[in-house]
Amino acid sequence: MDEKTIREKLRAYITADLMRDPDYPLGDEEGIITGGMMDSFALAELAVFVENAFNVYIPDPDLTVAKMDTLNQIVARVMRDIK
Amino acid sequence: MWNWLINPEKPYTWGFIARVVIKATLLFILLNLLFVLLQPIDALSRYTLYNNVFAGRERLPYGGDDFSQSNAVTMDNIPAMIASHQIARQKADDEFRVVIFGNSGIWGFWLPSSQTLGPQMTRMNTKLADGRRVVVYNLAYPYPYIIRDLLFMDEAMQYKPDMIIWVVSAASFWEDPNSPIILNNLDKVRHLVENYGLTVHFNTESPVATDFYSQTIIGKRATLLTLLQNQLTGILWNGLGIDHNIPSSIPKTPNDLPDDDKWSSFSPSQYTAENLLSFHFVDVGYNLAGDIPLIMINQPMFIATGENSYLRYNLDYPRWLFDDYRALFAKSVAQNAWLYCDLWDALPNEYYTDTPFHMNASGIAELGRILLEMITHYMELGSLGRDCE
Amino acid sequence: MTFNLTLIAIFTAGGFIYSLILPKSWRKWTLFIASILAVYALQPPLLIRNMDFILPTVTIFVTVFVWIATLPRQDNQLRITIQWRDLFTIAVLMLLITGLAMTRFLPSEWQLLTASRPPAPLDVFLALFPLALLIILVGGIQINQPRQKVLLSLMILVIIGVFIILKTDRLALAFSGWLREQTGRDATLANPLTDLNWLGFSYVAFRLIHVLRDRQTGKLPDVSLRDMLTYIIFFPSLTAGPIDRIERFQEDLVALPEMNGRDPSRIVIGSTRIVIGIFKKFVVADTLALFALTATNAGQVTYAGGMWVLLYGYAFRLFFDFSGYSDIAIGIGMLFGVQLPENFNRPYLKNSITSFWQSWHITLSNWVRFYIFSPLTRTMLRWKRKPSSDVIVGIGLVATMVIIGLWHGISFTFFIWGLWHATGLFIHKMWSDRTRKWYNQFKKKQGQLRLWNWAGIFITFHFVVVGWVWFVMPDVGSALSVLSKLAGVGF
Repeated sequence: MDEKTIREKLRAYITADLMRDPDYPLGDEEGIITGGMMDSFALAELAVFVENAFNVYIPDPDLTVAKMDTLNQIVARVMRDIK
Repeated sequence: MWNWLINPEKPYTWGFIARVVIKATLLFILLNLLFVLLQPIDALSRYTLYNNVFAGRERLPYGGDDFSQSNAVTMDNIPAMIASHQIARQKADDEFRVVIFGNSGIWGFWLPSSQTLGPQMTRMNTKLADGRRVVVYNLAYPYPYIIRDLLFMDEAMQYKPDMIIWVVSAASFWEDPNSPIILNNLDKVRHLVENYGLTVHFNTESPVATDFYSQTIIGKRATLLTLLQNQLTGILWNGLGIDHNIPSSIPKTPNDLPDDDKWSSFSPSQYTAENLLSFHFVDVGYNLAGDIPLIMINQPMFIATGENSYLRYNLDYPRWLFDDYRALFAKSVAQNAWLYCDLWDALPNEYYTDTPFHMNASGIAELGRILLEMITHYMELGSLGRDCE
Repeated sequence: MTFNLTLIAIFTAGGFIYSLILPKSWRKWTLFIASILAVYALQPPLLIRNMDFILPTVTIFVTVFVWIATLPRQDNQLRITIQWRDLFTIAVLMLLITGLAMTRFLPSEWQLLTASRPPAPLDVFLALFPLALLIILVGGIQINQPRQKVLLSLMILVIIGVFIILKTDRLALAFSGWLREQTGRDATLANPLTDLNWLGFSYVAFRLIHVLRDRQTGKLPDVSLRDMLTYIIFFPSLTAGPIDRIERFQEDLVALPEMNGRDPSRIVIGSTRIVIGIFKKFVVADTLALFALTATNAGQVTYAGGMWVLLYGYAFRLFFDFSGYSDIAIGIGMLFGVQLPENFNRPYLKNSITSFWQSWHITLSNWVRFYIFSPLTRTMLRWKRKPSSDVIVGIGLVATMVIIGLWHGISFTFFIWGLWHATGLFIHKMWSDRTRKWYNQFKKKQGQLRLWNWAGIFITFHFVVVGWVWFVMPDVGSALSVLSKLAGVGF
């Protein structure tokens, strides 16, 4: 899977399932949690999605607002461990 | 949140550190020098939030060992103690101001402050013939230290009393220099020695250090802290109306007494009341009071009727000492023309609580009625009435 | 918290010497030795003989065993995993502890490093030597990975077990009675406060669990015994946090030999934090303590306004005391070249309970987020027939907040306090999920946004403040009485 596919899959999941606003034009550098579009509780859901979709396990201590606030950060974290 | 500290406009340098350290040191030294020069503790003590921002106390602050339970700090700073009392408020035009000195029984141990002698007497709403209201202030304090009473009186005179009532008992006249409130106010004791004819048998040269360091802000930090705590506990006293932690049950002083004729450690075979007690303190009080009437009261006490009551009146006093004291004091009163009323047996035993001198609220009320009668009698006829004289 | 001004002055002076004079290559060992000594020096004296020497020793050796359990293993590879550097650390440890026991022979006014007279050095050595041997042997024994996972879980359970005993009044009392019987003392005098006041255990336990758990998930970096010990018992944060993370702490340790000790900005920032912390803790908090709610004065209050004053007093005292303490710890850490994480970020000025919990005791709430909330919700999300995500978050919040509550002490009032906050967080989540779009429209209307923001701060602050009642009062009845008096009822 290349980065572009991963990015679009994540963008679609976040806007549709976490933000519940599928039409929202989410930017790559936009603060998703700090911008008030989703709360930090949803990070666990995101992690489980990443596990199922890309087979990448993100340890709990990495599920923080500081590390997972923008699409770029999330994509980079997934790309780091993808096989 | 720490951005202002972490990202300063100009980067921190050693020069900056040096400047801050030097300036801070200079300022610190300057403040301390100023403090030593001005010796502002007494003046500071009289500046208070009590009677200004919030109401003054109905009795002097006494917190025992744990002031968090009683919303009052125990301290030796007499100006601050009296400034936090409602006596320090402005005197009304129609107010006849009566001040009472005494021990813990008069201070009101185990009583809420509203039930103590001052507030109870004021509530009795007595008016003098000239229309002035009798307002009574309780400046008693735990333990019978007569020199302390004199120190209080000295400070309280500036609050313009119209009459002073001084409740004493035999123990009051035993000179005990070991109480902290006296030891920490030796300069004030010396003032009484030099100006009002007080004689004492202990060294009034202060054992408390008077060197430069102890005069600085650092040296006085404990005193300053107590001053602050006294102000802060005032908020609680005002908020809660409580200045004394009262247990749910209070034992009764025993009617059956031990087979022991000693007063404290003094045995009648070696001592007499005459060589234990000194009444000249009363003279000092009259010197302090000047033209203001000063009434001496022999404090009412519990008089046991049970076992060994032929030896002792109660846990505090063996008969020999108390009988001699009464006779000797009456003699001094006659010689000096002091105003005096002996109320030692004026109240029935049911009024007393855990010690021969601690009274319940009804006892205090009864004593208050007697005193008010005496006050009005004196103001109208110039004598105390009852069978005092 | 046993930080007093003398101790802070000693640590600060030590920090200056360390930064300005000490050779750079000694820094790591200095932190290690200082932390080991501090575990003993900070421990309050206890009434059971030698207990105040034993408990710090246990803290150290439990850490050593945790370190061994977390050593990296590889399948089917027979080799001694313990390295020379770690054997050296064990030797230094033995020397230090035996040396501490030697202070027994000094006059008692010179026994400053231990809470009371230490036990005989020979006894200490004889007790520790077999322990050290065991460590070396166990450290060399090959355990394959699945068994290691079981071992790690076992150790976590043991730590939790000890935690429960110490934090449950009745169990702690029974345990202290048992200890007294074993040592031939009067068991009726058992009192956990004087027998089992184990300095820093709550924080040490959470750091140990973090290390064990991160080994299980493969996140733990390779750490030497010295560095792990320094991390677990780092003296500025030993007694009351912050709870750092080992991978972050280790980065600082690695950088220590290269750190410019004479960097003025580190000295200024560190010292300023200490001064601010001292002011917050010893001036503001200690002043507020005079009219902070206590079980005693709660019973004396005669009108609702008075109760609110006491409660506000308590809320601010708690904040200034704890955040001041954290400032001091962070400042001292900085002087020694360790950047401890922030623990507070203006918590009472947050406009929602969720952001309150991201700014109050941050390192603790992060810990429970990482080790309770996330794993729990992730497990539930993986279920085949999983509940709705609201239910999952709700369950996760209750579990998390109740654990934070019980961490302070296992009692019904702390349990309710946890539930109170879980409820607040859950309601806020429900509310913000449903109002997010509506709220986002205010981004263009600054005036209204500010109004809503202040309303949020007011509500959040009072929600937290009312919650503190459960923190202060010793039992449910008195807490309910305070709550009703706050509403003006029940005088």
